Amino acid sequence: MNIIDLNEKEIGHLLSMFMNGKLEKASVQKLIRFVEFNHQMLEMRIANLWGKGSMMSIYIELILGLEMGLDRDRDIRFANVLLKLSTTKVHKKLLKSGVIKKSHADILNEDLK
Amino acid sequence: MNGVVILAASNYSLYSVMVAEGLLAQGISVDRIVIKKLFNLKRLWSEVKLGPFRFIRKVGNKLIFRKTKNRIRHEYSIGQNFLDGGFKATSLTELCSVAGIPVTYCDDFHSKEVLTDMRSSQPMLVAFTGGGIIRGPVLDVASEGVINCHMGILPAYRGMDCYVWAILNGDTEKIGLTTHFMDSGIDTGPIIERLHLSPERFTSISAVESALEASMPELMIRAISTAFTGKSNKEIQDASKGDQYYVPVASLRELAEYKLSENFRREDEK
Repeated sequence: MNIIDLNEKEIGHLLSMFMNGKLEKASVQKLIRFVEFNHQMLEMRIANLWGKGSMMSIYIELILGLEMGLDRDRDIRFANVLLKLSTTKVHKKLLKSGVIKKSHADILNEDLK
Repeated sequence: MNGVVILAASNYSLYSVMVAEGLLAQGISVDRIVIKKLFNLKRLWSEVKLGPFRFIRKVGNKLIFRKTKNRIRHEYSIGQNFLDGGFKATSLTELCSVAGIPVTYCDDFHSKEVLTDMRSSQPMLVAFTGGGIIRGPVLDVASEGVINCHMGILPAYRGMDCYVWAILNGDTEKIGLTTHFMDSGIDTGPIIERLHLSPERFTSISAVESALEASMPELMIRAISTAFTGKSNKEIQDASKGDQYYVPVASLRELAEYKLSENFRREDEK
């Protein structure tokens, strides 16, 4: 499975598996690699691959999955990508509009203490 | 020929100079050295993308203060080993000129010209001493493959800054180096040897990094000389026993620094 070859329905399914902790290790690895390599322009990358219309929902599902994964598995790689994403424009916009209650940096900094 | 071709990240890499001189001292033929040019826009951009502070630190450590900075700051450093070990050349160009080794300068190890030069040397091995990720055609140049020294314990820690991740995960017994044959994956090829570092004596991440760098030339030379005897260990990796890691953000690096100093304090109190 290559993430960039998935269609909109398939990536949605993958992210819901990820959120529920049912995704196998190799696919989690691929998802992290995808976010790590694209984090600076992630929203644009998502829009290019799966369409502008689904960009925000895919982005939100992705960060929710990472947050839940961090909470559940204590995998610090998730913290790393969340912290990287928290510096992006789209993330700041989501924070301002209230879709996300707190910045990842705040949550994680509290958590890491 | 049938010796070694060395791939180097820069003309001034102490690691590459020490590997080349060490191999020559052991009577192993260095058939060619391929050096990446420093000032290449693509290369600079990919380094900056990994983090501007990391880039500035790297330029300082590897180019400006390469022989002195780590020597002053840390007991175990590649600069100290270079000075103690009686290595003579200050750059790869100088070494190539003195020892009569053919040299190729390039922007990309995968360019046609570089591949032609390397193939004409008919090496038995390629020693990768830095310069990014290498792929297919370079991996097939030498009859016995490409050897790399990875700054992490494989198969547990693949990718970037593995010593930082090992500290963050509380896996301090998995701080170290691994020599391995390279394949098409990232740090997934057969393992030759591991070297574990005891973190108890280090109070900072930069000291750990420095101590790891200091051990790399010796481990690399040993891996290559063993390969020449045909007795290399080739332990196949089980990818499921590890993860790939990426550059950590500054706050996680700080957390690792804190964990390391706490570890040192606890050991000191014992």
